[in-house]
Amino acid sequence: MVFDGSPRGYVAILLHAHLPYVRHPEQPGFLPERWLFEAVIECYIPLLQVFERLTHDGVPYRIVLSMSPTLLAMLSDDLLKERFAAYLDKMSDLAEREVHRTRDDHRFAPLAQMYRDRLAWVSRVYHDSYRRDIPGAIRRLAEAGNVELATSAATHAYLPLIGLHRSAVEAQVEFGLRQFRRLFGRNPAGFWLPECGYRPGLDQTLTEKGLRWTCLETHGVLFAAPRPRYGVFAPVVTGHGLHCFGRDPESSRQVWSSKEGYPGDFWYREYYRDIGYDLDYDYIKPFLAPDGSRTHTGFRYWRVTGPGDHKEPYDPGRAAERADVHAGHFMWARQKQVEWLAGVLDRKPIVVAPYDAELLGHWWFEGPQWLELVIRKSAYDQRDFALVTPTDYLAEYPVNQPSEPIESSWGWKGYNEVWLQEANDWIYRHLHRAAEIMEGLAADFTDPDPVERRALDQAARELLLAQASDWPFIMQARTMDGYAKHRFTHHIGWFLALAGQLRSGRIDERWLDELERTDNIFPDVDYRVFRYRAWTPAPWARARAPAVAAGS
Amino acid sequence: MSGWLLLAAILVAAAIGWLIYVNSSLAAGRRVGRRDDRDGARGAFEAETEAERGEEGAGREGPTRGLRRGRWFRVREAVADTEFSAETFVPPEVREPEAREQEAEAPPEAVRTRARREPLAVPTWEHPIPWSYGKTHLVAMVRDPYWIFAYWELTAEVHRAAEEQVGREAWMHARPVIRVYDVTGGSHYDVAVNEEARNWHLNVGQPDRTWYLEIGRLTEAGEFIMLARSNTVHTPRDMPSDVIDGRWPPLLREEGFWPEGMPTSPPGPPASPGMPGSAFGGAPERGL
Repeated sequence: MVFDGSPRGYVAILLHAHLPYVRHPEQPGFLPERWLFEAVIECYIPLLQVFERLTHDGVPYRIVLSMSPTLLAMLSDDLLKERFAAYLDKMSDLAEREVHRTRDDHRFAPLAQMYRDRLAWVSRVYHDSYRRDIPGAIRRLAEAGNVELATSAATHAYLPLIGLHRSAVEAQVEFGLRQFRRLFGRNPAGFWLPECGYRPGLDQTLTEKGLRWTCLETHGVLFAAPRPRYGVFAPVVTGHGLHCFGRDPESSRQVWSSKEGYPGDFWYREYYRDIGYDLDYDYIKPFLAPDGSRTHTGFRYWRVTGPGDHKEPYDPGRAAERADVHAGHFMWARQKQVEWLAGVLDRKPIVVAPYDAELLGHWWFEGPQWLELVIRKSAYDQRDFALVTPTDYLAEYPVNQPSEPIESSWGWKGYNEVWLQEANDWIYRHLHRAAEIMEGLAADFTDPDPVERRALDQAARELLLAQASDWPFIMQARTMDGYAKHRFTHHIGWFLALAGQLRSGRIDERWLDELERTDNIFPDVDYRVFRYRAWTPAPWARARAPAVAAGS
Repeated sequence: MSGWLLLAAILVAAAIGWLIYVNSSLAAGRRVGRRDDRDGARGAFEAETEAERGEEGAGREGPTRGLRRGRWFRVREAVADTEFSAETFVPPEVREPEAREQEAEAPPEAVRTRARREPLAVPTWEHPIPWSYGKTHLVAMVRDPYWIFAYWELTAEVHRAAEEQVGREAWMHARPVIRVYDVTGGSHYDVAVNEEARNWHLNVGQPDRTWYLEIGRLTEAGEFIMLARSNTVHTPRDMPSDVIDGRWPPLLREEGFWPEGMPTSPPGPPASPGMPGSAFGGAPERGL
C-alpha cells in the first residue's frame, strides 16, 4: 500500500487496452492496421511515458493496466513493427510539410510544430528508449512496482456467448495467461473480462487458473445474490473464489459521458476534424489510404468549441488548464465520495474506475495529461483516499462477502444485446459448432504427425481469431462491418477447411504454410488445450461454497 | 390473464415480424428461407458495392472503401449453399464430386438444387462458410433479462421420423412452434415460428428464471411433436436480489446505485455532443 498516514478509502483506476488482431502481410498500407499505429502514437506511448515519469519522480501511486493478448501480439510482431516505423517516418514527413504550409498562419503554425515535436518525441521513445519493444517497456514498468498488469481473454472473446463449450472459454483464458507469462515472466492476479462480460460459471475457469479478481459492470455486482452489503464499494466473492469488483457509476460518468463528461469540454481538441478530410486532396493524398480514400492522419487543429459545426483553432495551453481543472474536480469528487462512504460503511470503501486506455489520448487527446494530474494531485493534495489496485485491497481485506454476480456486461443496456442482435446473431451457429469440432479434433488426434500438429495448432488459432468480440461489435456498429464479416467468415472458413483436411488426411502443406505466416498470433498455441475435461470444482472451491444459496 | 396477454403479444409481434420479413425478402428479390447467415454475408457484399459507388464525402466510411481491392472482397458469397460436417468437408482440390450429392439435410428445394448446380469453388484462400452443419440441434442464448435468442438446425431424418410417427397428413398440417419451458415457474407456452426460420428472438419477459426450449410442430389435434431440445439458460436479474445474507446485511438502500444521502458532485464542465464512447468503431457509451 502506498500512502502515508491512514486514508479513509481507496480508489482503483483500471486501464484496459485492446485492439483486434489486424495484420495483413499481403496488403501494405492496409487501413485497419492504422488503428494500431494511431493508438501507439496517441495513446500507448504517451501513457507509458506518464507512468514512467511518475515512477521516476517517486510519486506514490498504484494503477492497473491490462493489455489484451491480441494487442500485445501485434506490438511484438516484426512485420507490424516494421510497418509502424515506416508509418512514423511518413507522418513525420507530413509534419514537416505542415510546418512549412502553416508557416505564415499564426493560428496553426504552433499546432503544426506541436505535432512535429510530438512525432519526433514518439519516434525517439520508440526507437531509442524502447528499442521497438513496447511489451519490454511495459514489463520494466511493472517491475518498478507502481503498475500492476492484468491479462484478458486471448482474442478478447465475449465470454458469456462463446462459452457453450467449456473448452472454448478455457482456451481463451489459457492462451492469454501463457502469453502473459512469456512476456512478463509472472502470473497475473487480475483478469479483465472483455467488455466486462460475465456469466456465472466463468468464475470457476478463472480461479482454477490462479486468477483472483476481475471487474464487472455496476449492476453485475449490485444485482448479485445475496444482496451485497457494500454495493459496489467492496468486492463480492463467488462460490469458486473469484473476487468481483463493481464499476463505480459516478467516476465512470465523469469521464465517459458525452453530456457531463470531461472529454466534451469546449477547450479540448476536436476529434472529428482531421486534415485527412479537410485539406486539399492532392496535397494530402500521399498520406491517406493506398487507394486514396480520405482517412485520419492524427493532425487535428480545432477545438470542440461548442455544440455546432463552427470550430475554433485548438489552444494547447487552454486545454492543459482545463485538464488541470478536471483532474482537480475528479479528485475532489472522489474525496467527497470516499468521505461519505467511509461514514456509512464499516470498512474502507473502494471506488473502482475502469476505462478503455484508447479513450485517453486517442479520443480524448488530453486524457494522459489529465490522468497524470489526477495521480499527482491524489498523491500530494489530499489524504482522504489512496490509489490502490484490487490486489492491494485484497491484501488488506482478504475476507469478502460471498455472493453470486449476475450475467452482465458494460455494453449498451448492460447485458448481451450488443453482441447478440439481428446484425450479428448469425455468427454463433458457426462459433459454437467450430468449438465443438475443435474439441473433437483435440480428443481424436492424440498422436499427430508434425504436419497434423501444425494443422491442429493453426485450426486453434483460426478458431480463437474468429471468437474475437470485435467482429460482432463492429457488425452492430455498422461502420466497417464489411471488414468484420469478412474476417469472421474467413477465420471460420479456414478453420473448417483445416478440420476437413485433418479428417480426410490430406493436408495442403503449401496452404498451411501461408496460413501460418498470415495468422501468426500465439506462436506457442497448443491445440490440446481444447481437450474436453470433466467439470470438477477445485477442492478448495467446494469448501468455500457460500452458506446461503445463491439466487432463488 | 397476463400470460394470455403476453402470448397474444408475442403472436402479434411474430406476425408483424413475419410480414416485414417477407416484404423485405420480396423487395430484395431474395429467396425466402435464408435469413440469418445469408444476411450476414450479403451485408458484406453490399458494403462493397456501396464502397464501389465511391461517394465523395463519405469521409468516415473511408476505411471500408480502402478494402475494395483487397483479398477480403474477392469473396462475393461468404456463406456457401452447403452443409458442413467434419467427415465430408474436404478441400475442393481433393474432393470427390459425389460427396456433394449425399447431403442429408432437407434444405428448401431451391437451395439443394443450387448446391448441386454450382460446384463449390473453394480457391486456396476463399473458404466459404457453410449454410448448415447437418446436425439436429437447438441452442438457447440469453440476450438480456427479457429476451432469449434461439437458433436451430433440423435434419431431414428428424422430419422423416416425426412424419412416420404422426402420419403424413397430420404432419403436413402441423405448424412449427417453439415450446418455451419456464423451469422456475413450472409452466410452458408455445411461440409460433415461421416455416423457414432458423433462429428466433423470444421475448420471455421474465428476469431471474431458468428456461429451456423445444422446437417441434403442433398438429391440428394439438399434439406437440418435439424435434430438438435446447440447453438450459437463466435470464439475469434486472434489479437487486431479495436474498439477504444475515451475516452481511446490506448497508445501502436497494433502489440506489449509490447510498442514500450521498452528495452528488457539482455539475460537470460544459460538454459537446459527438463525444465518442469507446475504442475504434463508434462505440456506444459504456452502459450509462
